[in-house]
Amino acid sequence: MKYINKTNCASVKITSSGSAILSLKSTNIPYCLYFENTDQLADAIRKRQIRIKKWIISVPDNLCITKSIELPASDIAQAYKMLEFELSSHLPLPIEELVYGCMPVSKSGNLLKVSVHILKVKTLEDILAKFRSVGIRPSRVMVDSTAIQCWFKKDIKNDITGINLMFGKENLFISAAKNDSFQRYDEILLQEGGLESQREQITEEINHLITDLSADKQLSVLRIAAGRDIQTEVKSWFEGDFRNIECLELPQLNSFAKDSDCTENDFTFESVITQGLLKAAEDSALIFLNLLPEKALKKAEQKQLITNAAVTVVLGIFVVFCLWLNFAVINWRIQSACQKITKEIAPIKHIAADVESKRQRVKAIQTQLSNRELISRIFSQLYRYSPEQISISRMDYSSKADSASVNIKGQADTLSNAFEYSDAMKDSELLNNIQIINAQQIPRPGGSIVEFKAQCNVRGS
Amino acid sequence: MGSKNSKKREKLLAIVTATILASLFLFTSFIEPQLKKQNALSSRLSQLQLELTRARANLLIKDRTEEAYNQIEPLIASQGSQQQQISNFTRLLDRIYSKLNVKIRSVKILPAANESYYQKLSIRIEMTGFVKDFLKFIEAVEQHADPIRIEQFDLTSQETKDTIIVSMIISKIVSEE
Repeated sequence: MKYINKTNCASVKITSSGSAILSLKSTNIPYCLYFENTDQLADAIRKRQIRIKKWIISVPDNLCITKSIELPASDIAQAYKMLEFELSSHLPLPIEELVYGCMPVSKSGNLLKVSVHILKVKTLEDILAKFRSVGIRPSRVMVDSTAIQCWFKKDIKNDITGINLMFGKENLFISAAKNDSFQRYDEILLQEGGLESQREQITEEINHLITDLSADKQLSVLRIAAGRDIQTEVKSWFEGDFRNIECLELPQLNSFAKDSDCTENDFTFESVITQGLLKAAEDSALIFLNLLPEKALKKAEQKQLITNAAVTVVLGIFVVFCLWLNFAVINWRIQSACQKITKEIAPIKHIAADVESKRQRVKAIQTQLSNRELISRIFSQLYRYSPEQISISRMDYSSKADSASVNIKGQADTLSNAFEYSDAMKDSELLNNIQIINAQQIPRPGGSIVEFKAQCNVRGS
Repeated sequence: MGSKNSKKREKLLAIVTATILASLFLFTSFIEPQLKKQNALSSRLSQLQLELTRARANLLIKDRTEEAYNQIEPLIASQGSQQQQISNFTRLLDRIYSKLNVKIRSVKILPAANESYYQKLSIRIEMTGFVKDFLKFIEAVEQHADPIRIEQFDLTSQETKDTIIVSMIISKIVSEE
């Protein structure tokens, strides 16, 4: 059968025969896995065939001291805090040697009645050591009876008293719940001679419970969880007394290993407990029913925090290292390319430098000798094309790489003559682009004169 | 409750600050130096690639360049120190204008432009004279065998007919010492 091997939460129970029953939480109905022995479970955990984040375990009720205490508390959290001081008056043992958990039972006025499960630290350590050897570090420790009650609790409605019977291999578990609170539970050792011999004892126990809870049998619900072989028989015992009798389907157990057979023994009791533990873990009313010492919880939390921080730091360093390595490799490659080019340049460097030096000199001389006679030609064309009415008083010349700039300042009789100067130079080969950029009429004794400025860019041939 | 939330917020703030500081430290200590090195190496690579291309191109035009250089070599051949070169240059100009009817008002030696493989000497001359003599001077300079060139001139006419004042810069390319 295919099973979910990775889940957030799972519960486990080690049976008296040494086998292990595991309930995995899934979105569908939780199912149980059977491990022939703890070594098989340890192997599966080590090989990561099953991967669980949070483990829930339970301790047998007979190892716990259970007390019902009434406390002037408004809620269970307050009651749990009060227990630290209250417990010493109820027990002969020092509080340091005990671990405890509590769950609400009922509330009357200012008093909250809580059911306290107390366990000796030493006993808990022995249990935890057993699980540690398998590779399980539980985050929650509850009690068997609570798990079974939680398993039954699913159909209980408020204001209805429910009597639950669960027939295991060796024990009959009887619990009672009223107003959605656990009221009482009891265990009856089943003898091998058959159920009929104990009918009277079981009936008496149920009647006793009904009387204690001041409930009416006809209004109460009796739930029977038993194997199919005895279900009908047990149901027939109470059909006259109870109007509502329900038979519940027991969990189906699947073998983890193909070659192991889980039907040889009856693990109904353990299967119900493990499934009930998963339900109990989700119940907000049972949040303080954890027998793990607070120190251990804090230590585990701290350890988880340190692990997370360490993983984050290592990952961060790894990312930085990868980035650094990436850039280092890029730089190494560029450096290699540089070295390769340097090697290529080395043998031709001197020859190329010599050629470059000669090339530059040739270029300089070519530039120096270019456009020779340009100035002579400019003067020649000025003489040839300038109209007689124009006289030049100033001329600036400056050469550039392959061109020259000529600025002329002159005088003319009239403005029209000045502006006609550019037209007159149109036929000139070099100065045909001459432009009058300014012309001004200046009064002189006996008349006036026009002063103008012209500018021309000459391109060499 | 409020205090608990406040502590939680402070803790978160501390973690965020520590993360930012750690990231900055790691960036400045390990990543940034590599980035700087990468920039420097990339620039060096581009330079070397350019140098290699130039060198290869120079090898390709080696024969042609040497042929051209052999032709111009007498023009640019070194004639001693910079002072000696300037002296030769001024003598050359003196030889040109001494034959003309111009009056030299000033001769000023301008700072030499030191290029990679040659020098450009420049002299500013201010002269007065007739236009025709100035034109002869220009003609003589432009037709001279040596690599001399009139870079710029400023010509101003005077009241007297055909008399001008000219200020000009003449340059010569010479080889490095």
